[in-house]
Amino acid sequence: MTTDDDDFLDDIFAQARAVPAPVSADLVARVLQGARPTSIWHGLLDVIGGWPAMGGMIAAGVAGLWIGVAPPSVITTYTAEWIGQDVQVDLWSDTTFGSEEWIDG
Amino acid sequence: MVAVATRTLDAVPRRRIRCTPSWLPLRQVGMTRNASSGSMDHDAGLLAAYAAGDAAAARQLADSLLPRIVGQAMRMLQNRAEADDVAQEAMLRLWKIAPDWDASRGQVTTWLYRVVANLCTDRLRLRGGVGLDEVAEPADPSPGADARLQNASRTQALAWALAQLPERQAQAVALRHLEGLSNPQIAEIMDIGPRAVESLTARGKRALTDLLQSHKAELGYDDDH
Repeated sequence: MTTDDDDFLDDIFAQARAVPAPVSADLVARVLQGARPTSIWHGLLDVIGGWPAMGGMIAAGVAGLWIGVAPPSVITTYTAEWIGQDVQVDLWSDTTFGSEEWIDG
Repeated sequence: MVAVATRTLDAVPRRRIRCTPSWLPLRQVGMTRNASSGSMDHDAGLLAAYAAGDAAAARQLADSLLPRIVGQAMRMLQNRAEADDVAQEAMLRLWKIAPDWDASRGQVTTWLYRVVANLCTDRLRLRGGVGLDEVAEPADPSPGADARLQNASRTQALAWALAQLPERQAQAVALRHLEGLSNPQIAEIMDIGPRAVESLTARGKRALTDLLQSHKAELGYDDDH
């Protein structure tokens, strides 16, 4: 490497060092916004075990919701076998006290 | 202070978690002495105060650290938006590590130099395949623009050349020649020996010269030198 090469590169370094780098109010706001939830949100995440645990909880919640809304036939079959089928029993028969007209009016 | 547990965040060495009672005033939790430099690391004190719930400490840290971080990122990347993004990410990592910070391991600024250098080389690596001719020409129609444009072209060319270097060489060169740090300081930041720093900076500088040599004329150096 020659002295000319050093001068040429050192000159570019000097110009790069002189580039202004002001800190914008927007950046400060973004940084402070990032500081705010640390103690609350990340603290909560730490308690439940971090993002992987949070992901598991969300997946379990979605699966539970799906099973509740549209249960697969295999689940209804097992439910029927283990718990029994739904049976409607009328304890308040129409004939106990007469007709519906009697009850209503 | 009470040591509670250990965990690892990002790529930094393991640090003991310290929980500081929020009722302790800043002067009692903050002023920790750095073993290597002997100087009071005021930033570590503010970080401990922030971890204890002091929002004003976060503001003070942002005010004192952001100019240095944005400057370092800007000098390496030569791109304002990217420098801001890097600064935001570095500060976010600082907030995350605050509860785990162990001041006896080093200064906050040393850790930040390392994080910012890593984030910048990550971004430079993404640019790596682009040729210097494809780097966007800066636009400036204002008076005296010619000289500024030439300076901007040169600094853009430097960022392009840094992007072509191996990551560690680019970091060592930037810390030495753009941040003006000493070899022992760079050695601490990069967690290597001073001789390795010398080797990296020498090889990096040679590689930069080789990369930029063929562009000297278009960068205006035939006229100037």
